[in-house]
Amino acid sequence: MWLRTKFAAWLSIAIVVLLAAGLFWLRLPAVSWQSSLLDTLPQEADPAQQVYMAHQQPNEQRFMLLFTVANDDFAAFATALRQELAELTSSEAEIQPLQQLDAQAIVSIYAEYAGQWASPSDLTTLRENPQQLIQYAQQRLQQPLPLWVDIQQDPLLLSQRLVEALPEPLPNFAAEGPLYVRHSATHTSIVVALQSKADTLSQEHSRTVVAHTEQLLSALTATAIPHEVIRSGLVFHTDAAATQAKYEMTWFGGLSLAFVLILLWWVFRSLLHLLYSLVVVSVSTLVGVTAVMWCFNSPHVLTLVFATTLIGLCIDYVFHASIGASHGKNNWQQVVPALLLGAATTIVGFLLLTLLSLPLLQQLGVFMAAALVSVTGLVLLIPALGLTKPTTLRWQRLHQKVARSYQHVAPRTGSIILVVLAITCSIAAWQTYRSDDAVQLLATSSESLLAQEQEMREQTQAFYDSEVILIKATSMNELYQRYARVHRRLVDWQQQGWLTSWQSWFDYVPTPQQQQQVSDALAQLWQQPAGQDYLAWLGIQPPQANLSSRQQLPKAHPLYENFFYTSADAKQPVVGVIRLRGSTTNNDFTQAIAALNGVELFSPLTQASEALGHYRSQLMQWMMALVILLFIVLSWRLPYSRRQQRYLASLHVSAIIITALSSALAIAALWQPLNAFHFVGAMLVIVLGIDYGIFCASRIPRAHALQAISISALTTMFAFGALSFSQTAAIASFGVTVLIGVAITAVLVPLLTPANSTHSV
Amino acid sequence: MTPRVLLRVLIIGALLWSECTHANEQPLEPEVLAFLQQQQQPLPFAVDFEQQRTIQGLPRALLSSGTLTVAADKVVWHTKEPLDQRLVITATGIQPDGEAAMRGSAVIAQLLLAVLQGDAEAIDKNFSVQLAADCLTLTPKLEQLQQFVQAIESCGNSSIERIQLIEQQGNRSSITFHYEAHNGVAAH
Repeated sequence: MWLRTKFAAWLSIAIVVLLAAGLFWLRLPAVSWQSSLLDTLPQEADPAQQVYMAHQQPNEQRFMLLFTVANDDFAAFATALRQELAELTSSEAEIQPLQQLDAQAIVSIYAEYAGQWASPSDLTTLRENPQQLIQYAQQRLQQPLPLWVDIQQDPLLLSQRLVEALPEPLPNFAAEGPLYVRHSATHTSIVVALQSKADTLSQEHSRTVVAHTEQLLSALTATAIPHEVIRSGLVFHTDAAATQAKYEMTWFGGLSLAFVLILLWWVFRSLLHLLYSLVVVSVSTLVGVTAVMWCFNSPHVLTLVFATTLIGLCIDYVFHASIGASHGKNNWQQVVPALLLGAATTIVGFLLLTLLSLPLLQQLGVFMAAALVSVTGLVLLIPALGLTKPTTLRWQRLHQKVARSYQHVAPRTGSIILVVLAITCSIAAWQTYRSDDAVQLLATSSESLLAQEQEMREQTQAFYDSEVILIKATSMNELYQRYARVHRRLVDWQQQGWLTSWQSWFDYVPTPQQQQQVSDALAQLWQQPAGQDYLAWLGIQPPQANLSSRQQLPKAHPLYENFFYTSADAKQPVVGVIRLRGSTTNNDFTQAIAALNGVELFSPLTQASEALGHYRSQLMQWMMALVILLFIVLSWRLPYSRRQQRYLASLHVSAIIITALSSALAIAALWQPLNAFHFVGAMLVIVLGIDYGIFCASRIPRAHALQAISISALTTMFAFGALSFSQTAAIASFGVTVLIGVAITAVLVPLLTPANSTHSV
Repeated sequence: MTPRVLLRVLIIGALLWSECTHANEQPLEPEVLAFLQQQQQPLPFAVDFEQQRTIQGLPRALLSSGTLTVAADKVVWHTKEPLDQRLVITATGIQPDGEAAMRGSAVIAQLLLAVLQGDAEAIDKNFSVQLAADCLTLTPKLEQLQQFVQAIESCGNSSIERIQLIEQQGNRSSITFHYEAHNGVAAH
């Protein structure tokens, strides 16, 4: 009885808050929040793929600008560009020219292996016509150009020739300081490759980087030197998406919030209701986050993003409870069992998510279950807190009319309508079902940016496909052998037309087999008269073969870390990568790669798409399990006197949910193929459907139940439905599913026969 | 502060700023400019050369000789002994006869052109300059070149008589020019 005092009620809320906050602060130091998309992947993801993805440095932003100027304007434009670049790099955005390979580091590693490494073409010449290499070396020695190899180790200057033959970072562009330049008959193309330490996923950082870059471009425009510019890089897309999202948030978010507040004020005319709704959402969020932190060592920030979307349904319990409490003690006693049954079913439903293999859904399940437990407790305090002000008379009369109009539908007719609709909509959804989990479909970049990106790729050939060949092994030595085996096949695959070109470690360093061949051929040459004459001309002895350094991996090579990845966890495999250009997703190619031990064709985009597909399929399984669970629980707990009535009412509630889900997904599929985000929206539809169904199938007077359901449905439809107009495909998918699903549920639930009806179900 | 004082302060400030800007640019000293002008020959011109190349690890210097033809836009480096070889040096790189420009040779080519053509502006832009007796010591400013070239010495009063390329690895090329054979003959 003591809880019925306002003080005791507020005190208990304060205790819950303090307890949750205490547990939150206690656990906070031990928790490391994850932000990488890698951590959202299914737990059974390939360890080698995880090692590769972990090294892709998503936070290191690289972006490029390509300028085209007339040849006559090149000198003046390059000077202006260099000046502006100097200013850009001194700004607070920490933008720097992308570091070109350190020539000193390159030279020192190739000098270390002087006389052991040669290019494949020099190896062929060495074996077939060594005199040609001798002549070249003699010519080279009389040229006025610096030499950096130890001539005693490498009399033929093979290492120096190898460095001069290394693939260029930007083919056909000459490096001139921070600029890469290519001249044609009339025009000069200038590429500026930049990098920033800004976080790729941070809208604020991206905005700063883009703003500084645009300043540079404006300054160049002000020089009045005619030029064209092309932008390329994730930062431009992130900024464009953020600007679009900001625009949408301002308009859609602002309008829907205004509508929700106006509606709540119109219905309750009470600031206390608004305040308490805010308290409930805040406390339940705190409890949810705390529960996630205690259940998971490394929760993901995306859990919070999804959870804060779903947490809105907690307000619905406030509507149900406060409207129930406003109609007196007897009515409140009818509301409590419905509240408890609705909350319990939804909580169990969310706990089912923890059985899935996806970490994000597991964390979401724990968050929502814990949040709903706290919400249930908080709404039971509503009578004690005095939140019993009834809704406005106009609102009450409107719902009495609606309730009466639905009473014209005979229970049997209603039953038939619900079952037939469920079957029909399920068939329609089955027939129209089409899914596409490709992450590219979720891209929101503008046509202009995408066109510039494409143009940059065509002009510079600086980009490789997202698809790579991954080679894995348990040790570096094993990996090195496997890598060399794959490298030898690349030319065959190119001739088959399966790829245009590639970037392999062994384009920069000879394979162990080639090193051996170089060593053998040189040893043979120094025994022959031609070799001996050359050494005599130089006045030196034949070089000693350095076997020990040949057996070591050249880990000091500046490019080593671009091709080989290891994990701090010794149990994880070591991974090597070969980047591809113009690769085809040809079955023969995939099979040829699969035939090699420890080798696979891997695309992060495909992996992300597969992960999204996995989420979609797991959510579908969860929804089916939840509908079955719902039927069982409601058949057991709905307050009908006869068992047959309970089964039938449970069937009807399930039918409404199935109809709402099927029709929402079928209609949404008309716009775009279904993806995981449609099913996240479907989660909201299903849990709201459970609540609406339970309240309409309870002993609560129908008009009272409909008042709360209307507020809930209207606020949800406006808040989430507005998202249907979003330019971001993922958000629009979510919004359209919720809008249609909740609308259909709200229209159909009044067809349920209340438990206190004198009519037979 | 009266407007007149303010104006004076502004003028002095502007003059100081101008001085500072010029000081940062560090233009070639008049003596260096005069030395370069003395060395400079009317373009185009041709000259015989002998190169003595000392390479670390070789017991003796490698000798070569030939003819150098210096024009406004290129230098033709024609070695006749011991191997006949022709290199065309332009701003875009060093090109062996009939072949494409050697990879990464553009920077060194531009510096050689600057030295052989006596281009004061290019020398000022690319080198720190030190004049001692009849030799000008040029130290590259470009970091990418400093890794390979320690200095270039250009000696001779009335013309370039000797160029010495000192490499970071300890190698050294000494090129001596002989103008007699081509005296008064402009190259074509």
